Amino acid sequence: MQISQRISDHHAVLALAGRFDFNTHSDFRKAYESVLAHPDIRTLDIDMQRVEYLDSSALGMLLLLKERAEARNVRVSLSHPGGTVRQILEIANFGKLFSIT
Amino acid sequence: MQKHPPLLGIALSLLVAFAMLLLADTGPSINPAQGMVLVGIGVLPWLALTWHQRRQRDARQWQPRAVDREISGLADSFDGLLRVLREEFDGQVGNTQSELAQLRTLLDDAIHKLIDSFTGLEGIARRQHGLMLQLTSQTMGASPGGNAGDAGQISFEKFLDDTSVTLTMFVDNTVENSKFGMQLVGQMEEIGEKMAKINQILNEVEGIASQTNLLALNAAIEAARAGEAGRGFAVVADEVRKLSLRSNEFSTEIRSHMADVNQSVDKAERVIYEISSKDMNFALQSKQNVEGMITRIQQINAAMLAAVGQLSAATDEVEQNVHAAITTLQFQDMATQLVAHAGGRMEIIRSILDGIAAIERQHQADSDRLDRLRSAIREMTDLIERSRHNPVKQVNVDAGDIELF
Repeated sequence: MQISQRISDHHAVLALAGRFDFNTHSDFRKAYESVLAHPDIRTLDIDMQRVEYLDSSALGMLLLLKERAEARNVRVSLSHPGGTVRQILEIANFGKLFSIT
Repeated sequence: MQKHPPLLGIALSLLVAFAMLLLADTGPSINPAQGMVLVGIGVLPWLALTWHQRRQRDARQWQPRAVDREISGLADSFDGLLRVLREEFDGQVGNTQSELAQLRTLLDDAIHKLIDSFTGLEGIARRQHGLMLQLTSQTMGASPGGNAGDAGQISFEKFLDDTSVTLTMFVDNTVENSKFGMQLVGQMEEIGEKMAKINQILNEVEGIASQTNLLALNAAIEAARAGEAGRGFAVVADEVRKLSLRSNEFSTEIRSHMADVNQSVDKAERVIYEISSKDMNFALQSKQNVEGMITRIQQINAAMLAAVGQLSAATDEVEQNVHAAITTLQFQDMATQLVAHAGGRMEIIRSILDGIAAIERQHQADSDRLDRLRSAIREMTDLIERSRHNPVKQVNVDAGDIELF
C-alpha cells in the first residue's frame, strides 16, 4: 500500500492506495505518528478513495489511530471509501466513531 | 172452479126444486110426498155431481202419492250417497291429515337438521379463522397476548434481529481483537527498535573490546621490549587481552540471544497476524444474507396478512350466508302453521259433511229437512268464510320480521 501525506496548517491528509491490511501496519503507523508529531495539527483525514481492500487489522489500526489522535486532541475523519470498503466500515459501525464522508 | 163444486151442486138442486114448484102452481096442488120427490129429483144431480167431483179429486190425490214414493226413494238414495260420501271423506280427510302430520314431521326434522348443519358450518368457519389468526400471530410474532419469551413461539423477525445482534457483536469483537493485535504489533515493533539499539550498543561494546585487545597486544609488545622490568606489565597486558576476548564472547552470546528474541518476536507477529487479520467479507456476506431473509420474511408476512384478511372476509361472508340461511329456514314456523291450517280446513269439510249427513230423513218432514239443509249450508258458508282467514299472511320469509334465536 502506498501512503502519501499532505499537511496544510492544522489539517493533514493521509491518502492511502491499494490493499489496507496487516502488512501495512508499520508504514501506516509511521505515517500517522509523523503527522501527529506536528503540534499544530487539529484534524487528520484518511483519504480511502483508492483503498481496494480492507481487513479487520486495518479497522484495528484505524481504532488505534483514533485513540492516539484523540490523546493529542486531533480529530480523525475518513473520506471517500469505495463500495465494499464503505460497507465494511458500516458493518463495523465506524459511522458512530468517525465522521465518514 | 175446483173449489166451488159443492156450491154449484146446491145451486143446481135449488134451481130444479124451484122449477118443480113453478110447475105445481100451474097444476093442481101437490102433496108433501110429491114435494119430497121433487126435492129428491133436485138433489140427485147435486149428488151425482158431488160424486163425480170426489172421484176426480180422489184421482188427483192418488197421483201425488206416487211422486212422494219416488221422492222418498230418491231421498233414501241421497241419504245413502251422503253416508258413502261421508265415509269416503272421513277416510280421505284422515289420510290427508296424517299426510299433513307426516309433512310437518318431515319439515321439522329436515329444518332442524339444516339449522344444526348451518350452525355447525358457521362454528367451523369461525374456528378456522381463529386457527389462522393463531398461526399467523405465532409465525409473525405478533400475538397480542404473547410475549417474546413464550416457549414454542417462533418469531422469524426476532431470530433475524438476534442474528443481526450476534453478527454485530462478532464484528465488534473481531475489530477489537484486531485493535489489540495491532497494539501488540506496535509494541513488538518497539521491541524491535530497542533490539536494534541494543545491537548498536553491542557493536560499540565489541569495538571497545577489539580496541582493548589491540591495546593489550601493544602493551605486551612494549612489556617485552622493556625486558625483565616489563615482565609484570606483560602479565597485566595478557590479563587485559583475556578480558577483551571474554567481553567479545559475551557480546557474541548476547547477539545470539538477541537473534532468538528477534525470531520470537517475528513468530509472535505471525501469530498476531493470524489473529488480527480477518477478511471482513464474511460479515458483509452474513449481513446481506440476513437482510435478504428479512426482506423475504417481510414479503411472506405481508402475503400472510393479506391471506388472513381475505380469510377473515370469507369467514364473515360465510357467517352472513349462514345467518341468511337460518333466517330463511324460519319458514318452518309458517309452513307448520299452514299445514295446521290445511288440516283445519279438512276438519271443517268433514264437519260440514257430518252436519249434512246428520239430517236424518226419518225424523224430519220434507219441508223441515229442506230448511235444515239450508241452514246447514249457511253454517257451512260461515265456516268457509271463517276459514278464509289465513293465520300466515306472509307470502315469503323476507316479508316477515321474525326474531332470531
